[in-house]
Amino acid sequence: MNRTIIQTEQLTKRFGEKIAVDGLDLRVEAGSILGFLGANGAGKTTTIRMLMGHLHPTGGTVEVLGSDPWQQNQSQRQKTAYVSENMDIPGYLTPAAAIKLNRRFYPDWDQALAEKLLEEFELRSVGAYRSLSKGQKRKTCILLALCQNAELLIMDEPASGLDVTARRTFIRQVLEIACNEGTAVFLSSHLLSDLERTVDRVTLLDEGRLILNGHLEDFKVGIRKIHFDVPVSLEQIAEQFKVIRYKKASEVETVVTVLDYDEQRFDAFAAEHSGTENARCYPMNLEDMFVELTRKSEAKVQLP
Amino acid sequence: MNKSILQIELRKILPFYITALVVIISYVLFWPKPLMAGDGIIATAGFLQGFIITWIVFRDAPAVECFLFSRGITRQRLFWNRWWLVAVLMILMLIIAAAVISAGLRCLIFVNGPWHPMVKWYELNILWPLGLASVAGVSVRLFLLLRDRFLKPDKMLSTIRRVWKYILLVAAVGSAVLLGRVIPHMEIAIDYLLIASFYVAGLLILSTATARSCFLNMEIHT
Amino acid sequence: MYIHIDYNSGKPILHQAVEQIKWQVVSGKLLPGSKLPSIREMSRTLQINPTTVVRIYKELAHQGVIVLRQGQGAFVSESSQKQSKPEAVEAIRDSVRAALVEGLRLGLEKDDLDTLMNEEYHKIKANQDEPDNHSD
Repeated sequence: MNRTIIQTEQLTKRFGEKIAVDGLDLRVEAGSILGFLGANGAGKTTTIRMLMGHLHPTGGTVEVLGSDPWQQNQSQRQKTAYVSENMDIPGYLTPAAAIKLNRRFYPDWDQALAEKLLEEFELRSVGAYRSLSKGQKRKTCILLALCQNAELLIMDEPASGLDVTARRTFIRQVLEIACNEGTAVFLSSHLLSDLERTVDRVTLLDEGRLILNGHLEDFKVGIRKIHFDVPVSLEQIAEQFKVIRYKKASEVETVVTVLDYDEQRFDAFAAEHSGTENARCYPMNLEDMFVELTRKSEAKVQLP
Repeated sequence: MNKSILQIELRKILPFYITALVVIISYVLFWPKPLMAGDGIIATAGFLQGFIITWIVFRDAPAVECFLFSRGITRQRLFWNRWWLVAVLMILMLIIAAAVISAGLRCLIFVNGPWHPMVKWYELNILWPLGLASVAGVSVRLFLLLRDRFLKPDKMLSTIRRVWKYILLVAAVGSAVLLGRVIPHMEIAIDYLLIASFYVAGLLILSTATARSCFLNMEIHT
Repeated sequence: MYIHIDYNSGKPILHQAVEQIKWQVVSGKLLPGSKLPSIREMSRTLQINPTTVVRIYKELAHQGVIVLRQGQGAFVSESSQKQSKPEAVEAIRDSVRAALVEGLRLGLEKDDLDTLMNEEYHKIKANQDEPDNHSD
């Protein structure tokens, strides 16, 4: 069993009347890259801030690298790297100067990698941070996090504003880090196509609540959109499958999204209720899944 | 690591500090009347510069705050780094003022004035209001750190907020009373100054403790 | 060794990779006994998660396509014919049936299906007999 890097139990955060994060149970093990997904305002950033010891939980517990983030000592803090899209380094620093400044905080700093990324991100001969473009700023912050040799990399929308080449470099480095023993990556992003290949686990948050948590590959195996050309009732399908969306697309057409698709069960069901020729199923990539699970519409069925 | 923090802080504070230093030292150098313990101008200037310097050092742009507080450093360490920087800056200002007076520079400037060399050791008394007021300024600003940060809605801490407002009030009134007593009675100022020193020292310890507690517990909303 | 992953198909990376590696073994591109890339190398080359690579290798080992040797890495299995003919037939019966059902549903006839089988068979065989086939 791999070491637990992040563990939360019924983690909750309230801002006055508003519940931003509601009873979140999360576990990230070493060797894992977790994709933390959710629409804007779903509670992702709030959760991340609680992981970083920037916000106090209103309820529940959070443990990062084995301890409460608010109680960590220096060497424990040095093991976490953080990038956020709201983060800026002091404006007068050039990327090269920022590296010099930042490396003093981290005894395991990888200067060779820093030099390499400085070249690849084209940040060697640019000016002060305050004069850089949004993309260059992001690249600088990402660089500072990637070279830390951290055990835990927490990233909140790190790649927003990055061009394709930079994103590729970024993904490449994240995967390298994940290959290191005992490290974990916690990544929140809207760039689902990037996440698709990078993450092994996904956690989906909707209005502060966890609605999906597990291995991406397992979800892909089980999630299907099924089109029936004949009417099929929700009760009938729900008997056989875990339904998360059900919609009568027209007088006869029924569209259903299920989580636990299985070829044999589907063939049997189709044969019995609709006829095999009237049922077609379609797999979904991460983006499709995300939209399907978070889209607000009356076609949604209460998740089990 | 301290070097990195120092670099960032100095960059933030040096412009204002140099300005304040120039203003205050100019006063010390060029003020034609004798410098005495009951100097209201220097006390005000000292209070303001202490207050503002502390304000600048302990404040960050939200995005930079997010960066700083996520570095591999404890908040405790960051707090003390900043606190000691402010202390050193205050002490430095006092030392420079003392040096200017002790070096007899005023005597050189006011060589034709009615107050010749004998006066200069007495003029070192200016360090009292400068020092006390600066420390008072620092303390008040440290207190206000609590108000700034814990003003975020959080029911549990509103009690603490209420209590500290009274202490703040008492401190402010007490400082005013003491300094009010000091200024008109320059010749017996020494006794009052010693009392004031103890008072201000107490203020500093209290305000440092609360500021530190606030610093360690405050939420970062960036 | 190169594998192409189609991220838009919704088909799990695991399945795509396992199929393609099996194809490479069957077609002789990967010789028996040859060493597969390390987990890190695979992750680097394909730019996919190392945990996924681990799963791919585990699945291939489970299916007997490769063997995992402690401390040394993953190697293509030496002998390809471990099972008897009847067992091998049963192993693929389900996949063949599924393909036939789909073909018939789409309106193909027996001749079409025969032609298809032959085409695919000859493709694989052609790759196997190429004089310059190495494993990467």
